[in-house]
Amino acid sequence: MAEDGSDGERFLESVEQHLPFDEPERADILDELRSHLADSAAAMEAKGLGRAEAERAAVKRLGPAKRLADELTRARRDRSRLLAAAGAGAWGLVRGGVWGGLVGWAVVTVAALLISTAIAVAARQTGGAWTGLDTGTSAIPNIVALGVAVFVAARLLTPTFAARAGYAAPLVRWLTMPIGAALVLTYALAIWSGPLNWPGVVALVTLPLWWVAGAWQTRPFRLAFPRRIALSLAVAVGILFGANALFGPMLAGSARAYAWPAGSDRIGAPMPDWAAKAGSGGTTFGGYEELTIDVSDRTLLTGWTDLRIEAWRGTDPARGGGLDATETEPFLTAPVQWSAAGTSPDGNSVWYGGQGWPANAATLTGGLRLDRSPAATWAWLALTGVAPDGQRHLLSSLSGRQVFFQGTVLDWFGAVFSGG
Amino acid sequence: MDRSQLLRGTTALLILGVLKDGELYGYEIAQRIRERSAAFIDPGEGWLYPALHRLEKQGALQGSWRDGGLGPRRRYYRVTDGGLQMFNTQSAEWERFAQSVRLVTVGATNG
Repeated sequence: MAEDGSDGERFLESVEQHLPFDEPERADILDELRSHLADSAAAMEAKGLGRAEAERAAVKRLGPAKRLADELTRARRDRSRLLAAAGAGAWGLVRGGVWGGLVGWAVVTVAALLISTAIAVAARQTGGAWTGLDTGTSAIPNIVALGVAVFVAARLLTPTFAARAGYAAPLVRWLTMPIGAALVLTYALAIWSGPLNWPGVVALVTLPLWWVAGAWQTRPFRLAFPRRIALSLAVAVGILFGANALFGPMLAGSARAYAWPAGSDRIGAPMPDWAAKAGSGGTTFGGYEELTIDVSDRTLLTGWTDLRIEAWRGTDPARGGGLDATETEPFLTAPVQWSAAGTSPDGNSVWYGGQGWPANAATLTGGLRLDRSPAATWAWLALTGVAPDGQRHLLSSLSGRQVFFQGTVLDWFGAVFSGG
Repeated sequence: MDRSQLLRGTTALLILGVLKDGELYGYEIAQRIRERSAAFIDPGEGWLYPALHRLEKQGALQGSWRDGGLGPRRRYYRVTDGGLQMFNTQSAEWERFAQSVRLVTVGATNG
């Protein structure tokens, strides 16, 4: 029988290196060859050869290791193996995706919480204000967790498919890598939809790289309970609770008092007295924002032209911002609509229903989609119109809104290239 | 004449021929072929295992593991009904081929 380091074992190791099958199948093939070498060497020893010489002769009769491995591989391939490989590959994808997604999500979420806590502690110690991640940025941890899921799924797919199909993994990756990367890219560009900003777009566009990195690996990969990761998460959660206990609630952040944005006269001030006294309101439907004023007498606006809702670029007032001082024009406008007093233009919404409205009362409504403007993070909305004096005046008070782009990466680039 | 070329077309026939008399493991199959051919067919055993695995995939052979005593475990092969049918077909084909070759070569010698 071949011993460790002998010609026979070296030959078997060489054969094993060239067999693409998984461990149990390789072990069967090698056991059969090992028993053959033992019998063959024993027969030659019986004829008078020395042990080492007999083993060398037995190895020689089997021919070159690579050729034998290649011929065995070809002999064991058939169509049913391809079907089994497709099934095993799909199962590997699902297992890897779920495992990677869970682990990735846990790690990334805890990391995001740790970083947020660290920033909140630093802000508190230095007297600054921090109100947490904005909506667009908050999607990035999920995208990164998705990247980990994609990496592990691809990491499992290549060696699993290769071993079941009976093809070398370095060959199979030239199939799994481009096809998978194309599918992941399609998902990242056209299917994933949510709040986006530039870092989020970059995270999504680079999602196929996670796949390429995983599919490139050819060594078998076993999913195991990630003890180190679990331990790290436990330590991280401990740090979070410790920081919270020492420094007080961190994650809620602290906001400065609301500040009326300076420079609002650029929009269209002053506001007529009757408009200032008019009832007004705002509504949000997903990314669609509406402003309304209930005008007691519609004739007050006789001679006014170009009544519209405007959105001006600004910064978060809670962070000390306001109207962007460099802006001279609204970045979005839309004409307003008249409707019966206390009623939305489509008639589906009625407010102050029991109120006795004056005979000429009416409601003025303007609406804009704010979730299609990649260049804005904060917007100030107002209803305005050009009075008979030729000047534009405010018809409602200013209303601030956080703006975040909502959609796919293709929507994002479409909006960017169309000047949104 | 290159005997390995001749062997290439007859591996299945040789293996099935020795296995139809009873199950054997790889080394025994090679030895039995060598003995029956009076050592005329003895090109080494690199061809044997790919051929055995291919025949097993095709359903002509059925393999099973057995304990090898003091040595490594051994894989024994036996011919299936399909394998026997394959042997009969290939054997008849080979006989016709050999006869035809003989007719041609004898004719050439006489001519």
